[in-house]
Amino acid sequence: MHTQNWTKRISLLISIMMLVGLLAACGGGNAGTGEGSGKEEGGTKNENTSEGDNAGTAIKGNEDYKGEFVLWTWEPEHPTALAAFNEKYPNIKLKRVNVANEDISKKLQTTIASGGELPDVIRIERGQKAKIFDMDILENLEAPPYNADKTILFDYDIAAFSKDDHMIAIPDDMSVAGIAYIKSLAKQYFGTDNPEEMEAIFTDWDVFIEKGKEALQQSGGKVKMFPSLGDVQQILKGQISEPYFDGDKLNVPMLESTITTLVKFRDSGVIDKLDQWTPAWNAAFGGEKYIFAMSPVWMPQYVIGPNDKKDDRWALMVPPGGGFIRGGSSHGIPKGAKNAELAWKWIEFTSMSQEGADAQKTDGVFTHFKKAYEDQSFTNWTWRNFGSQDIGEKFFVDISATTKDMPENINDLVLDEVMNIVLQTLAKDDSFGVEQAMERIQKELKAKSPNIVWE
Amino acid sequence: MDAVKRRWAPYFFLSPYMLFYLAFGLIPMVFSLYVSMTSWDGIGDKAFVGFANYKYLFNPDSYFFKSIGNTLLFVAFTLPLQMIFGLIIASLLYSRWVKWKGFFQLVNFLPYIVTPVAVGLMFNLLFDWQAGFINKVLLHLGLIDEGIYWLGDPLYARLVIIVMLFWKGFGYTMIFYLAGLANIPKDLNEAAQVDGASGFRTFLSITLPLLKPVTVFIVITGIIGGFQLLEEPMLLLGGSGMGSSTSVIGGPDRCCLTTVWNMYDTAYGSTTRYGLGAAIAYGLCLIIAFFSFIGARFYRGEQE
Repeated sequence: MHTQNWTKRISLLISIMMLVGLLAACGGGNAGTGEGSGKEEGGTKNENTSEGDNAGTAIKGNEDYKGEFVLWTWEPEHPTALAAFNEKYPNIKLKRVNVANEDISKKLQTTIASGGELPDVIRIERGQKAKIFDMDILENLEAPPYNADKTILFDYDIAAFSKDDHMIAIPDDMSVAGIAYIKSLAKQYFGTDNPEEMEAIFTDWDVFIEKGKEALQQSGGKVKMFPSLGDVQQILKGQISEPYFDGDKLNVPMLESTITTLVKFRDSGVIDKLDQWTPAWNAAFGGEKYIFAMSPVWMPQYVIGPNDKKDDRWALMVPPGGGFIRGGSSHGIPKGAKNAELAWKWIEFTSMSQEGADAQKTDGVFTHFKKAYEDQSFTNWTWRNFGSQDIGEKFFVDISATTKDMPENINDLVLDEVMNIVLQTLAKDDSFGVEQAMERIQKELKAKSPNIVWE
Repeated sequence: MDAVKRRWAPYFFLSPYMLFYLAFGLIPMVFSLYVSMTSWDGIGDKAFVGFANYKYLFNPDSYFFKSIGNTLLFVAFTLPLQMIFGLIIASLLYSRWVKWKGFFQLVNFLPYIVTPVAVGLMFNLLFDWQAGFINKVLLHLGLIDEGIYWLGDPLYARLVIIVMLFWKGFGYTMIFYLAGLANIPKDLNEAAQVDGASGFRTFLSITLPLLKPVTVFIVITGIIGGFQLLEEPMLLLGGSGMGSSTSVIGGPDRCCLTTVWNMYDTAYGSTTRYGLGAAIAYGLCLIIAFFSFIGARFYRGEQE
């Protein structure tokens, strides 16, 4: 009888504990959200109050900025930049939260849908940019309290990082791209390995194809221009003169022009069928089968260097049609961020100041702060695979001067995915032409995003 | 007082579970049903669209039925293979001719406990067009002149997925058949032998019929599990460029787009159409319920 009573009591206690735990968890969530929202409003209000009058901003010293802001990023810490920032703003602390680049948009969505707390700043990878921009969750950085001065960035950055005619993210690392080539092969097949002379030879893509055919013939079919049609597609996409989409309206003639050029490349036989980012594609950088490789700023350090152990084999040039953008990341501040002001100070320092540019360069990052590149000693950058060529000057002066960038919207992501199918089919099926490719794209776009207008 | 206590006590003791179920089971289910009738990107306002998302599933442009077909195809090919091979291995292990039974059981069961992500990436590297081990071996043996584009051709891509699922799953069926074989009374086999039945005849007439409940169970769980297929094909064909062909959702011509992959991609991948994603999930739920119902009927028939 005694034991039975104890069993009952224990059961009751466990039930009460479970119930209390469950209710506390649910209640806690609500309370947390409520508190968060309250703080959020308070924070924003405070910031507005302190920043609302410009006199307040002018008086505020660097030490007056106090607190911690949260950054969602996948990028390893940039120690020099962080140390320099902390020296200038000793009372601002940065809390990094590791989120994989492809997960940032999903995590934002689920955080917003669940009413959770957003970070103060997010790092946005180029592939995710259109999706995150489309969410309409980022602050207008041209408005107070940020007042971003967009004139200190490169001209091509403005439209690419804007939505509704105002900047909502600030680009962090440079991602202008040119094309690299193997000097010995260039000398053998084109008679020169000098970048400027190469640029004079390859005036447009038609010349490029013709020269490629000659090299293919001379080498008995062994040496080709690029390892992958994907490389060509990315260059062509980066060189378009206007965005593919105006809202939901697709610029069909422009897309058809890109597809026609891709088919021309495929039919010429000067491009191999490797898939990008595969082991074989990576290994190609160490071989002598392909003369050219697309080369964004990060390519020497992260792709060519690790895959080609030999020094001084490569040179960098402006591609026919000019420079383009490939990859790169930016930072944006979500609306309602609690410590937006602190986060902005960090963005401003690291991406929009000379001190930040110098510190970031030490960490291996070139920022988009335009003025820094007026100093030749800043742009000077050599890399062992490129021998003594000043690839910094080539990237940041010659290529940058010819670079364009286009704003993208969510439809561009769908088009990118559909283009993968087209590229795959083009590479394996020689009978797949422009008409079939366009039909395929139309069909796939209709299925994935019925709102796209095909005109 | 006692009567009152007797009335509320069961509800009180059930309440932790009921509240838990309400919070994490029923409410999300009802909410997702509501979401399936809206157009929502997870951030903006939900616009009620009635059954438009369900109607879209029947649109020829939608991948819903294609993805159901792909999934059924994988189940139709892999499940029989897994069952036949699992049964053969189980019978061999159960026979008196095989030594080190524990070792072989473990070896055959190991693929099943490998994480799906690792399986996808492993097969991705094995069947890579240019650097894959399979093509290297075939080229070395002179069986082919040029590497086969395994993951870029619809037929081959499906074949690779079937091989992958078969390799991963036969150990699971083997374990069930081993348990089933252990439950068959030995005297039935001995009686058959005394009556002069051959080993093969005994297997066909005694072992197989007595294994029918196990087979039915494997078929039902196999079909349900098959409809939940996601990670392996996703990693195989879209593994962040890890030796794969270009990252095409669903593989070449969407030939390997499974229903769950379609749902995931619609809601969280290349588009953020939560409403349509929820409608796909409910469509999938109906299909799984249909097969479960048929399976349950079979199972009940067996029991009776």
